[in-house]
Amino acid sequence: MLSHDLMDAWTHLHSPVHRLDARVKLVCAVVVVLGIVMVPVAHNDLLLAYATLLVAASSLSMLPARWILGRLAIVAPFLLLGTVAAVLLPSPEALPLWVSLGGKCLLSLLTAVLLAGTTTSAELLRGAQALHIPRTLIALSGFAITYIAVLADEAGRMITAMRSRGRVRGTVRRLRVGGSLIASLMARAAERAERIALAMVSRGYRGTMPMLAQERVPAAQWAVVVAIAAIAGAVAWAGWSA
Amino acid sequence: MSDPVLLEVADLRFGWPSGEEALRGVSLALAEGETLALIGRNGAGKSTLLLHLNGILHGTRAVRVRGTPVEDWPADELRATVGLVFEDPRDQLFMPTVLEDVSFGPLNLGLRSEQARERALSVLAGVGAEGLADRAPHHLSAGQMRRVALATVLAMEPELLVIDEPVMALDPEGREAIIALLASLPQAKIIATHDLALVGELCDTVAVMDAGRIHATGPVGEILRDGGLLRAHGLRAPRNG
Repeated sequence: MLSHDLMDAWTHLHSPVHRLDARVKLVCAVVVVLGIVMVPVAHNDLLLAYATLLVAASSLSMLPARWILGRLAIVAPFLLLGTVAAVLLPSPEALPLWVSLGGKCLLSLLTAVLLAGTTTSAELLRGAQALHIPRTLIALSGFAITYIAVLADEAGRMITAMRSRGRVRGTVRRLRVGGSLIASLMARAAERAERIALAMVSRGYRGTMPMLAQERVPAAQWAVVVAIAAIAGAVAWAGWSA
Repeated sequence: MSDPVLLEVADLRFGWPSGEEALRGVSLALAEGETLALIGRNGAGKSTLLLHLNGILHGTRAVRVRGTPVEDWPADELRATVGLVFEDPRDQLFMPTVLEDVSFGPLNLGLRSEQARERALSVLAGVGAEGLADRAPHHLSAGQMRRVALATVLAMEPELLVIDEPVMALDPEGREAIIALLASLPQAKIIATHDLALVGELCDTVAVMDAGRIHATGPVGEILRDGGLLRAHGLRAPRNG
């Protein structure tokens, strides 16, 4: 199923990072990303501390390196273009600025990839709920996660059906076929949304998403947050006090 | 049978805003504990009729549950009394995990979190899906999705189950399992289906629907043996029925 490739592909592993509560991982990820963006341009070398931390976490997580790199590749065109521009620009500030921007972008993405790779989408949503993210936002994210997978499978079936009827020749014709495929997918999505709304109303939905209460996070796990916050605090202090 | 009437539909008419007349005077009745099959070709109006039974479509006062028009029922009570299971379980399962999906209805009915969780787990065990509580619904197999979709409605403890095409797209084993599960449920049921073998196995009475009308109602044996009637309404008798 195509949807399995899209999300929750490696969340079944049993690494120490996987075992951490989603709420702990969410807070850690926010702390790390905030720490990364706060590193001053003049102290780009401090980004290495976060790189070390994240590489260690990646290694602990047992996520395949190839899978992680595949996810990071999404920023490759942006990094490549920026690097070329920074090298060619005459300003001496361009390169450090670019190293800061590119490095922060890459490390923040790695943080997100680690979080998503070790936490199921359901756990992430429950974690966000516990952290008092607005319920409507969580519900919308939940629908997106659930139905992106359904739509991806539907798109996969449509593409297979299209291919099984021969190769589409010519760019214009390919564009036209691609356009109708997207239009058809959107029409199906709209119809499905209508049916989902009916199913929700049928089970008593009145405009507020009900949520189950959650168990408490084991106290020992909060120690991880404290440790990460301490590292971020130390790095921030090193950067801003110099 | 002297069972009290649970559901009564009298001369129900409904047209879509496009002008298409979907229901042209449908009448039927269902007693407590009875299982009625609603059969008919595609576009006969079966699904539209089902949407009237729990008040999703309403306004004509033609549908009565326990003698009260659906328009006069508090919405929550009606939805808890008449549970509607949709044709495609992917439309029915929208929460991140199975447990949350099955708890959705009970929480909407005002149950506390712990009560809703207990009820959901107990219903999941009842439909043979106890191991699926933490799974994402969109990662389940078709048969598992059917069980869980049924559980989402059973968790509201309905008196009447209204089920649209319960065995669509299931393999023979999955189909048999769902039929056995449905047969084990004590509630009154209305099952809209094309699967006449299922009708023979599960239902007491049959209503043949075509072009927005009920054309015949009767005991399952009588209707399924009437090949002419079935053929006239786009249906075919089961081969060994």
